Amino acid sequence: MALVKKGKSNLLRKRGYYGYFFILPLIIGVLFVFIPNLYHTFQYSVSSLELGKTGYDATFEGFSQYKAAFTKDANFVPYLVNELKSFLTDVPVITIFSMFIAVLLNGRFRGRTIARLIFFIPVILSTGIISSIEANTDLLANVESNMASSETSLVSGLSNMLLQMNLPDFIIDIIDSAISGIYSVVQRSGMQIFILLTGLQEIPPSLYEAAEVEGCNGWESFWKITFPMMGPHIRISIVYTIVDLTSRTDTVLAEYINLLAFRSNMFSLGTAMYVIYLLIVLIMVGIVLYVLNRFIKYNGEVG
Amino acid sequence: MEISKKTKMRIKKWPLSILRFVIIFGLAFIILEPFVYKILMAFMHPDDLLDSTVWIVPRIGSTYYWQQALEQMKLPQSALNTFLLSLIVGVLQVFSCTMVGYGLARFNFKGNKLAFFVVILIMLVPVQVISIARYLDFNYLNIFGKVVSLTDTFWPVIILSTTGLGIKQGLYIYMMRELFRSLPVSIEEAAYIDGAGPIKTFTSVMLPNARTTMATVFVFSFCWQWTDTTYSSLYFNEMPVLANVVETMYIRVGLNPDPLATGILRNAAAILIMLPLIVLFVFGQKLLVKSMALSGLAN
Repeated sequence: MALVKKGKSNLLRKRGYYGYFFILPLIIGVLFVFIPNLYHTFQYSVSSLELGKTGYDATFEGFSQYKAAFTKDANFVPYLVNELKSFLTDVPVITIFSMFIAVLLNGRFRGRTIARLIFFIPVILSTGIISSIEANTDLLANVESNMASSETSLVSGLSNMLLQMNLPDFIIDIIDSAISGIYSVVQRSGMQIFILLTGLQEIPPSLYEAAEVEGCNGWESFWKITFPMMGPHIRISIVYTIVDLTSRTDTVLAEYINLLAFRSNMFSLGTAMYVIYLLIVLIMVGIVLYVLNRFIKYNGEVG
Repeated sequence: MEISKKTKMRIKKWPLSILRFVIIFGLAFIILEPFVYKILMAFMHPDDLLDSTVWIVPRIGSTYYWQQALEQMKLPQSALNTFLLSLIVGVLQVFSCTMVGYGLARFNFKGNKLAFFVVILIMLVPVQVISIARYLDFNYLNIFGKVVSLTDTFWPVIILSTTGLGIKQGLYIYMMRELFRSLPVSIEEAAYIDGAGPIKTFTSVMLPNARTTMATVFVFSFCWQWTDTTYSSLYFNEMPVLANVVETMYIRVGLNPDPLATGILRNAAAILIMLPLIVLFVFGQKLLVKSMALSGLAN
C-alpha cells in the first residue's frame, strides 16, 4: 500500500501557494507573538529591567549574566547536569513502558474500555492542577515517607541482585530508576500510551491475518508489522516525552531558577539560565530527531 | 472427550491473560490510589484527624471539607469562566491545528520544511522559559501606539490558541500533519478532478477523514485548559477560574491557615473540579471509538 507520495503529484504542486493560506494562523502567531516572546526573553537576559505603568525600560548590559551562570553560580551547572542525566534514563523508560502498555491495552479482553479509561486519567489530570495541589500535609507526608521506605528496600534488594549478576552500571541505573519511579512513570506516560494506542489501531488487521496465514507467530508479527508501522507514532511519543520533561516546573533546576529570578531579584541571571537551558534542550532534541529519522521511515517508503 | 480447537487456543492463552490482568490491575491501582485516598480524606471529620487510630477510612465522617470547598470556589463565576474558556480554546485549537496540519502535510510551497521546523521549535521551547516575556507582552500590548493590557481578559488565550501557540498545541499540529500525510492522495485528486478548489476539498473530503483526531484534539485541549495553572496564573489575576481559585482556599485556625485542613480542602476542591472532566472523558472515549469506526480507520 503506497499511502504517501509526499506531495509529488503535479496537481498538488500547482496549488502549492494555497499552503500559505492554510498555515496563515501559524505565520501570524510566529511573527507577532512567538518571535517577539523569544526576542524579549533574550533581551531580559542581557539587560537590566525597570517596570513602569505603561511598559518597561530595558538597558543593555552585555553578556555578563551568561558568564556568571557558569562561573559564579555554584548550583546551576550541577543541577543542569543532573537534569540532563535524568532525561537520559527517563525518556527510554517512559517510551518502552508506554509501548508495552499500549500493546497490552490494544488486545481484546474483558473490561478493556475501563482499563483504557483508567490509563488515560493521567493524561487529563497530570498537568496543571494536580501537580500544583500535591499538598504537603503532615498526614500525606507521613504516608508518602512510609511508602518511600518500603520502596527503597525493595529497590536496594533488587539492585544488589543486579550487581551480583555483573550487569553494566547504566542498565542497573535504568532498571533502578524505573522501579523506584514507577508512579511518576505511569503518571507521565498517559499521553504516550494514547498516541501509541491510536497508532496500533490504525494498523489494518488484514496485515496480521496475512502474516498468520504465512505462518508468522505473534513475536515475529510484532517486529515485522507492528514495530515498523508504529515508527512515526514512536517518534511523536519520544518528542512528546522530551517536551513534557523539559517543561516541568517542579524540577530542582526550574525551582532554583525561579527562586533566583523572582525572590532574589536576579531576574536577568534567571533568564540567562533559561536561555542556556533552552539552547541545550534544542541541541539535545536535534540529535534525537536526527538519529530517529535515520531509523524511522514513513509508510510506503522503503525502509 | 473431544476438545475443540478454539478451546485449546483459549487454554493456551490462559497464563498470558492472567499476567495481563495482574499488570493492568496493579498499574490501575497505582493510578487510582491517590484519588481514592484524597476522596476518603475529604470525608473525614476534623476529629478523625486527631484520632491516631483512624487510617484512610474516616470513623465519624462529615461533609465539612466538601461544603467548605464548594463555598470557597467562587461559584458560579469561576465555573462559568472556566467552561467558556475551555470551550473557546478547544474549538479554536481544533480549527487552527487542522488548518495548519493540512497545509503542512499536503502543499508543496516554499518554506514548508521551515514552517514544520518552527512547529517543532514552538513545541520544544519550555513554557517557563518564555512565560515572563509572554506575560509582559500581553500586559503592555502596543496596538498602533496605544498600550493596552490584555491580562484578566480571554484575549491572551484566544490569541495563542488561534495562532497555534496554546498549551502543547505544537503536538496537535504534529498529530494532524501525521494524520493528513497518512491519508491516500487519491481521494484528494478525485476531488480536484471534479473541479473542487483546495478549500472545498479540505472541508468536504479531508475533514470527514480527520474526525477522530479532531475529536481527540478537542478533548485534550478542553481538559488541559480546564486544569491549566501555568497560563491561568500568568494571565488571570482578578478573574476567577477554577484552577486558580484552589490556590486561594484556606481553612484558618485563628489567624493562621491550618496546613492539614487546607491541604484536605484543596484536594476536595481539585476532585470537584475534575468531576466534569471525567464525565467528558467517558463520553469522549465513546466518541473516539465511534468516529474511528465511521472513518474506516479501524478497518
